[in-house]
Amino acid sequence: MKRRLAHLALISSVCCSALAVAAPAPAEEVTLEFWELSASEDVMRTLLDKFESQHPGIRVRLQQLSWDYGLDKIITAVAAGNPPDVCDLGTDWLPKFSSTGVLRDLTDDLAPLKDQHLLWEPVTYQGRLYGAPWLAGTRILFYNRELFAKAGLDPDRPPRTWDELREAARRIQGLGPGIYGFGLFVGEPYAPWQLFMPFAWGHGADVLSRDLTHCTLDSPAMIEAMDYYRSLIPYAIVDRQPEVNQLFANGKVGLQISGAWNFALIPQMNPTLNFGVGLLPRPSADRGAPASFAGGQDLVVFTASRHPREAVELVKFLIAEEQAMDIAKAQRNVVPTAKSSIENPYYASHPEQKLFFEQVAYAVAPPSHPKWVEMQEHLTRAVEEVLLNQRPSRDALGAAKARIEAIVAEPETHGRISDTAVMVGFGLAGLVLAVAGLVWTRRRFLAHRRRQGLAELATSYFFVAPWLVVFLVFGLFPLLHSIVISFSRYNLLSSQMSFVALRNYWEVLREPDFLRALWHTIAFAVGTIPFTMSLALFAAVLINRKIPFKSLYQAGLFLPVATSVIVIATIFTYLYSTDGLVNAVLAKLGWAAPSPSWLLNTRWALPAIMFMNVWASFGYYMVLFLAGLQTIPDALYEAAAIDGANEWQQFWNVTLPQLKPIVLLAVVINTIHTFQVFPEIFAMTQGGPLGATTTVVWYLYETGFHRFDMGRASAVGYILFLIIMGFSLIQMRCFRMGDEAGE
Amino acid sequence: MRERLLTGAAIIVLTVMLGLTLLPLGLMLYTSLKPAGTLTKQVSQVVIADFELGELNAIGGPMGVQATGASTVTKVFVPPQPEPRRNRVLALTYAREDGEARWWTRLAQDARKFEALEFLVRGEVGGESFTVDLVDPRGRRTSLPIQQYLRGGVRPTWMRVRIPMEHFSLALLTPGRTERTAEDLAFSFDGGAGTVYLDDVRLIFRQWTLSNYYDVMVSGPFGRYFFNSLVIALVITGANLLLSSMVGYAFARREFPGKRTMFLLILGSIMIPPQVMMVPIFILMKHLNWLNTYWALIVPSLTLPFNIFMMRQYITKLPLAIEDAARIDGASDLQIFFKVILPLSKPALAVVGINTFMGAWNTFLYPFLLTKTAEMRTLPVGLALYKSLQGVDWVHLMAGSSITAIPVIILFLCFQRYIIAGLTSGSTVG
Repeated sequence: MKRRLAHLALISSVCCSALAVAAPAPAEEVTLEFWELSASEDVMRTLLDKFESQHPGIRVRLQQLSWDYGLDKIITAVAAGNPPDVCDLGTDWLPKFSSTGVLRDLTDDLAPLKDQHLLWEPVTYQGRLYGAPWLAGTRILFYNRELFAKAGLDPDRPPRTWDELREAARRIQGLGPGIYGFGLFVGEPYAPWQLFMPFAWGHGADVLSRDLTHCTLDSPAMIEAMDYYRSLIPYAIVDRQPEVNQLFANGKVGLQISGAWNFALIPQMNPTLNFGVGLLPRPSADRGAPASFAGGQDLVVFTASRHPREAVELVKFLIAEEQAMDIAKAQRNVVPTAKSSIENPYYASHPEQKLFFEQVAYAVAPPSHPKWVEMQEHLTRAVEEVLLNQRPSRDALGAAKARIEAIVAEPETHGRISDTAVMVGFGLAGLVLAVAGLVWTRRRFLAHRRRQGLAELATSYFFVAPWLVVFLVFGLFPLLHSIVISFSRYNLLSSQMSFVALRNYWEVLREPDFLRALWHTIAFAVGTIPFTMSLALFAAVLINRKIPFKSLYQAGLFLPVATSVIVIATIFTYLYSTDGLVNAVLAKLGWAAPSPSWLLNTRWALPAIMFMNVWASFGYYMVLFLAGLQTIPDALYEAAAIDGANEWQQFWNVTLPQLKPIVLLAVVINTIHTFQVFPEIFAMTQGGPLGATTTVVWYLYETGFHRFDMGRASAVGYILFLIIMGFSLIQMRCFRMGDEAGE
Repeated sequence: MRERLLTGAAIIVLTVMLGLTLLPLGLMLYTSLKPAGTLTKQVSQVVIADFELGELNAIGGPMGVQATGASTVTKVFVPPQPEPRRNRVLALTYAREDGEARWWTRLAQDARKFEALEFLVRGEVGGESFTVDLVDPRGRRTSLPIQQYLRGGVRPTWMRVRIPMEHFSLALLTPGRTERTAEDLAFSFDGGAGTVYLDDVRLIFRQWTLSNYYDVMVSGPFGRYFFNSLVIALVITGANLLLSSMVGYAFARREFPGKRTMFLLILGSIMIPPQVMMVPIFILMKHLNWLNTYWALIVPSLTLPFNIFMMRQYITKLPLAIEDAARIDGASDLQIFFKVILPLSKPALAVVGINTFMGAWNTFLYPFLLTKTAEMRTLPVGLALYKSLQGVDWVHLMAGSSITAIPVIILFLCFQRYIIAGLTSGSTVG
């Protein structure tokens, strides 16, 4: 299948280029759509204006995306058959895209440039080129010169070998509490393996064999690299990458391996830091290489592009040294892939950035296997198990090897029924349902009509109409569509869809990771809803008393709700960090802080997020309750007071029963929100550490948008839907909703 | 007495809660006004070079000398190697002929954030002079002669020189960008020859700055983002106030076939995780040709399930008596809805208004997915892009967050009296 696709792509590309040669210059103006991930809009627009003036007749429409959110949007657009002409992709995403045939084969266009650029491995798939290396990013060693001097090390000579690195880290760690020798990353999907693998690559080990057919995680070199890595633990802080970055910027960490973003971040976080840079260390002076992780950006052309020739022109223009250099200068966190850039006068006066260029020469890209995205999770898990659970290297790597071998061996599964048949089937089923619904409605309608007049019913429907119309157009179609998807195997990228009936549901329900995620989600809901509700009710009742500055309290307690979740999550991540405010307060009180710190602790990460969730959301429900309290007539309280009821009895016997409809509303809404908890996880832990905060929606997101298996993701969504529905129905039963609604 | 005690206790408890909710947000506002730093860290100055350590300057940047033509300049550390408890300084020996002679070091700082440049300087004989230059990454420079600050040039004794930042023509640096990047600091020697000693070069930060807000605002067409967000949020809020209460009223008070099913559909539609709907909605909007239009962002939100649910629950609690009274007086259904139900529902409408506006104002996912051009972006989308393009740098992130939070707070302050305003009308009902 894949080979056939490759052939097709080849043939079509040959045809296209043949056509392009034969066709005369475009008579009318061509507009290219270009999506880009990192350079700021003004820098990029200047370059595109230059391109437009050099290529009259081509206009470029720029769409700015970002690393955090770009992938979702690109995938959605590809799935909808609406991708841009030229797109900027991260190198680690490339194999996944090239293997599905959505990218144009650029081999013939780019072959002449092969000697002039670096980093072709990630864009190569089965010997063909599906993209052009544009900007390179890699990791180098940053070190604190002041701590070096304090520890008696030469501040102008960074460590060059593994032993020197460990020795430097040991001496700096010895400077005192709160100072760390080195930083090791955990608690995120990518950073942990991206930091570890350079040690393995430098030592001659890799995850997959050269032909990508089997996993080599149990090779002696790999185990040695991991053993060395774990020998750094006593001299290092084990934390999330952003936290280590921050500690390093604050002068608390001696050595750190990081990307060029440090050049921009340090002057903003702590401009006084005295730091130097160096190449990554090699295993020993006479052996191995100072390997590093090769990241960066590639430009690709989608097969759906209607102007491939112009698109290729744009790609060639952008990867040329002159343009790439402009971006590198403005951004400081990438270097051009054009080899000649090293001669650029800019680098002569910027030796610290030139070092990146030297490091790129030793940079290794992860294996370009289309399922690398799935594999890297297991690699990260192995690294985390060694760092957090002290599991022996051989065991952790062996376990990861078994899982990765399973992924390599797993065949692409497809159902046997074509998607047209599925669509027709569902269309028919929908028709039958609609007819049944109509018949049923008509019967009910006639029954009602006997009791109520036609005008009466018409008025009712008039009142419901606004929702009904919006729902029928914008609710029903996506709903049915996503149900169809949940019964299919649906790869978002290749848009291949095949009917598999209930297999997605069946597979998800047997998946231990899903069950664990479900357990976390239920724990999250059960552990937050009572607190949120009672805190909100408590505050509302207090504010509703005749107290001065009522509106001040009301507005103040509501304030967290008005602030975006992402921002609150960012602030709390900082409060929870190792040297954060929470630990500082605990230390003042003489209580021990958990180690590792809150969000990295498999035991405490979820409760910490739950606490934040209660804090950030109770103001919302407080306002609901406040509004509800206004419906309670004062007469009821007066009567109770005459009967001699105290405040507590009044609350219990008057307020609570009277507030029932609003409490039900609040509980149901809060249930829905907590079962769908996602932005907090996205911003704080990405499901880690070791999967301890993987909730159902995070699991869904990973399945759909990291593994591109939208069918299974939709099945997860509908399983969650059924669970929430079940909970809500139970809640409604408990509140005897029917009674009050008078039904 | 007892009443007063309870009120007092309530005030104390509420104040503690208020303190706890405001602490992180206070940190946010405080950080957004700092020139640099993190949530808790405040920096007052940057020591650029004190020459105590190694060959690089005190922020790890290179330094060097540069001479063209027949001019010469050399740099020597005195003493050459760092010695404990002894101050190390830099000695620059120059001879200026027909070319240039200068010493430079890397700053890579945004010049707008600083109050002043300070350094200690001494000449071998006195009278040596130079200009102090700030240089941007492309070599454009702004220079000030040292004589302005030390009459007759440097003196044989150590003198502290303080140059206020605004004396430089900062507008010359990085034109066309918002930040004024001073890539290098250079001392360019005037005519003659001599030796100049330097020590303790530092930049003093401003105490507070609004430059973070300014940076965020000019990083894109923020006026346009703001306008888009406002239009979308206001239309959605207005529509929901009317339409959702109509629907909510029907579910609370009227009987009609399909009521239960429809209500479950309303609730059910918010129980499906939005991530599942992303692709289908995108495809639908593409077929409607609504991508990159206001329609796509407004129409699906005209009646939000939460609001319908809210209004239904609230209207359920309203006493039936006045409605019946109005009906006996011959009021039509529409009249009852507009003249009786809506005025009585002010508290709920205030909640609906606030929540809807807040939701529409802060929503990120669909505006991000369904828009293509900068003209159609909303504020959260613009901010998210800004944030991830610049890296999480605290001061700017907090400034951006404050900008988005403020309109919601203003709206809340306007609406909030209606939440409690129901009291008076409520008591007449009882």
